[in-house]
Amino acid sequence: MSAAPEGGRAGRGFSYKALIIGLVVTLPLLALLYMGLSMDPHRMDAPLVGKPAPPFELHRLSDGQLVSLESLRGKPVILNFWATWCMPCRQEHPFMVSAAKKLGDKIQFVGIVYQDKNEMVNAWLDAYGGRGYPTLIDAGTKTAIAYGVYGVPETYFIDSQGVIRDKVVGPVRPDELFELAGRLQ
Amino acid sequence: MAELGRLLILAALALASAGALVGFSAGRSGSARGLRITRGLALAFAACLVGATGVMEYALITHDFSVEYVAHVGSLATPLHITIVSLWSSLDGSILFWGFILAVYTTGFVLATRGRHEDMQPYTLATIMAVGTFFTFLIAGPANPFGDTPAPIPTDGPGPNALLQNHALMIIHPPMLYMGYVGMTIPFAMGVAALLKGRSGAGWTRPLRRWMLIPWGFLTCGIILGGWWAYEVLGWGGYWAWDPVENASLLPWLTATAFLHAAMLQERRGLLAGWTLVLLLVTFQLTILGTFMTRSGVFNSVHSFTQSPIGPTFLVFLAMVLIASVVLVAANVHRLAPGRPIESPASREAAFIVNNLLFAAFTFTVLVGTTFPLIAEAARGVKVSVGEPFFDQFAVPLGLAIVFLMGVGPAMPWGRATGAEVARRMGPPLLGGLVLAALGVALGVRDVLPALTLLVAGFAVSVTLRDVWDPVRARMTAKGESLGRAFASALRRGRRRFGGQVVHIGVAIAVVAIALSQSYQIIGEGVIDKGATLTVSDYTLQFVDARSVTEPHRERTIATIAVSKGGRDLGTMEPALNNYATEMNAIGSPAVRTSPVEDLYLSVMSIDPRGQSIGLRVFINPAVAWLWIAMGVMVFGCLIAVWPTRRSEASGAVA
Amino acid sequence: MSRAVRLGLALALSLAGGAAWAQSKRGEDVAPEQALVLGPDVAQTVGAPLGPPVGPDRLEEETHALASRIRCPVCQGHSIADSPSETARDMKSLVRAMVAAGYVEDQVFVYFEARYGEFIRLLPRAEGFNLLVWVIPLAALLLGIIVVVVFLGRRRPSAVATAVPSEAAAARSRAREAGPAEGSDLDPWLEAVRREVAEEDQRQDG
Repeated sequence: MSAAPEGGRAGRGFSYKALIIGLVVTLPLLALLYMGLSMDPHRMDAPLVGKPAPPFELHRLSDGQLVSLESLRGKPVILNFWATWCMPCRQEHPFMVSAAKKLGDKIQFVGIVYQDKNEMVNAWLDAYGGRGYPTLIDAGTKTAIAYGVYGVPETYFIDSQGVIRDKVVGPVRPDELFELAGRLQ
Repeated sequence: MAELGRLLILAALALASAGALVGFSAGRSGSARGLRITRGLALAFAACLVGATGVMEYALITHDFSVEYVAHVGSLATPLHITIVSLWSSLDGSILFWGFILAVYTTGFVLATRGRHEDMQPYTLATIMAVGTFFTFLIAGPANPFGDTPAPIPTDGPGPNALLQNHALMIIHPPMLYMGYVGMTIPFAMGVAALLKGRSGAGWTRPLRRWMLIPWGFLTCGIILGGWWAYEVLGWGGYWAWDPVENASLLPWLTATAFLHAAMLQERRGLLAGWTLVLLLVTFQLTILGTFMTRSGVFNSVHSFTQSPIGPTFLVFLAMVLIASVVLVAANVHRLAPGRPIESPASREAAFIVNNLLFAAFTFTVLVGTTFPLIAEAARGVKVSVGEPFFDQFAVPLGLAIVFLMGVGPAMPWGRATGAEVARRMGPPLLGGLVLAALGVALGVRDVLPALTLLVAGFAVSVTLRDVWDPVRARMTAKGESLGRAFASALRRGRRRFGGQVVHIGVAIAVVAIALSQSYQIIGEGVIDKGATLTVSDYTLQFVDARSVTEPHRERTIATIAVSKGGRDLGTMEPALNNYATEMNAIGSPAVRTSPVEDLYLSVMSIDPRGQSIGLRVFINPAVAWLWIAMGVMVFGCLIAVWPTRRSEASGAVA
Repeated sequence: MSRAVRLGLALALSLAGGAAWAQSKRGEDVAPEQALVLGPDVAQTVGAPLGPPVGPDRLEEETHALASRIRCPVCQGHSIADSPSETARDMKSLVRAMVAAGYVEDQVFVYFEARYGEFIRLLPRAEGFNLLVWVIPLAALLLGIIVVVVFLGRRRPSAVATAVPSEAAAARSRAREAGPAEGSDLDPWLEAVRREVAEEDQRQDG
């Protein structure tokens, strides 16, 4: 980060050499930080998009039945990871339930609860929008790890061939959901 | 209230910009009247900022929720001392606090320089005021804490961030860090003044030595306290994770440390004037860069949803500071000749130069590592991480080399040492290092790195102790003084040197503590039912019970763990989980049992709802306490060096 | 302050929902409960294990070595070996199971990278553009070393060993003239004390 002080030793006055060295060191740093400002720190890479969705087999909250991705094959799936301790999930959930009502015959909605307690999940569902679609319990975080979940909520859009088409980090906006759901069909 | 605060900030902004303008013109004309006016404006600026901070504190304490910031961080349930410190619990308030500290330093500088260095003062004050203009602009505009709360005005607020409330160290560590960061403005301004005045010849660093030592001491303290806070609060058993925020505080510390050594070389031997100056400028730039990094949101991680509006403003300021510095240096290069060649690589000069090289390399590596994710994303569009394993690869060898040089430098004479001299000066201390390393091996150190650390640290401490002893012995020999008297007068005559030696001992202690705690940490974890035990190493931990306590601002679940070691009962420890009214999730309070040998560190991961079982993580961290002790030693050494003396100019005659 | 906010969020994410894992974990982690069964997606992603299964004697050591280089996705830059969070622990269990089954280092990284992207590596993959993170600091260090060597190598035009006696040597010779020769490192200090005495004498005289 230094301008070499050797520059214009002989002459008096301004050293263009030092100026250029200094600018060569500092300008790229400034340019980088400027670019950094315009980058979205929340965007995360999603390498699974375009790849087959990892299989899972999880217990359903309502009756303890095992539900696997295999058994849902044939219909596109919207997979929503959430938790009771997640604030944005509260805003997102009622909308997901209403969207499931609207699209339910064409697309299977599935909620996967991430690191939570069953009794809290039930209370939460009662409080924030109800049970429009199956809720599965991800014991040991296995499924969330297999999907590369960074946090909740995260939503995966899986087509009828079982390939992940899109992934949304954070709460899904309504327009976004209908657009991405449309692409699945 | 909000109105009054805004008014004071606007007044401070006007005064700061006026002070900068008058100061620069007084610097050019050399007018004594201009200087008087500048000093007056600086004091008035400081008074306005202190006043504005007072207004904010008043609003916080009286829960005046019509002030936006109070509505944002205040809460009726929060205890008074937390309310007071919530001034720096959130972005806008912390920038105001920043301004307050600048006001304190400005006042200190104006009062301390009455009638001294009058030729340099106008430019120095003008530069301080220019920095002040920027910060008051931030407070007045993009980060204004004195906004009006939109109606309806709430009757209660959410309270400050839960982590602030979680530990006392959170109350003192940010101010220490800010005192360090903001304080770098003063030596920077003095350096700029020296450049503007063309006074960058031999000895120009002398007056700003102390002004650099003060923020250096605060920064040292702030960094280690930050680590201590992380250790006591975050529950992962460590104190340093090479997080961008931590790196941001380390960067200016590294260059400031390099500067303090380069300045010695510059004063004593007239070497590296330009390099010394560059270090000074870079140190200030890094404090601004660090603030940008921690405040702009650029380096935020995945799930933080705070995007700050001050990023662009900060970047503009950083760009101005960087480019102005480059231009100033370029205009003064002809005065910044590196000085006469040194006589021999076997000399103290050479050791200092290599020391500076290593500090520069360290700084650059941390900077590259911290910014590389940005570089990679800009170039490849892919998110990458650069974490602890990367930094360790560089920090360990560089750190060891620096500690080794900490012994070599003082051991070598200025000028030139013959082979025999080198052997005589280095031999006994190296033996000291070997003894310490052997002692370590005898006590169970079996790995190369910690053994090597003991060797170099022992070497450096031996050199330091000999350097403390030699002048005392010389006095006893030559003047026949008693031991106590000889020590006292040696200390009086070489206070800065003695302070430096104490700091070196502190550094050696810190490095050994880091090496041992990093190499020999033991981790165990598990779920224990009530009454059952968990054994980790020679500790046996029994889960006695869990109880809930309701406090005004939080609900605590406290686990009682009975601890015994090798059958000896050590009493109970009480790690807890805290649920804050305003936070969705529990935040742990680890329990730490500190001893000089090792810490037993318990972190609750979970408590089942009925309190029948507990998930516990157990760390046995050797020697960590010595890191906090080392901080005390370093700060003490810094105080010795900074403490005002009547004969300050005469001190350090032999260094 | 933002550090607290960010750490708070990370912690909030990581510590939440704490008790669920308790169902799957009992006893001491040092000897983990039941072996985790690897899902079919592991083999789908990285194929069969390339190494022999790892027995309990080396399992923890190797797991820790790998886990300390995998980033905890919900934390503030900690590895899954360090982080006390739920997710980190579950990921570490998976790493342990993979190591036990004989998956080698590269396979473990490839598995996690296929899910989380390169971000999951705390030490960037050492290839291509990423090499710059090592090359830039090392090149700068090398450049610095060259500058320093050149600087240290500069000699005065008349630089002969005897031309300018060093401060220490000069002090020694002065000390020798002034008093009984000690010929040790004490000389500069003795010299300084004598100078000081002389100054004081002068002041008293004047």
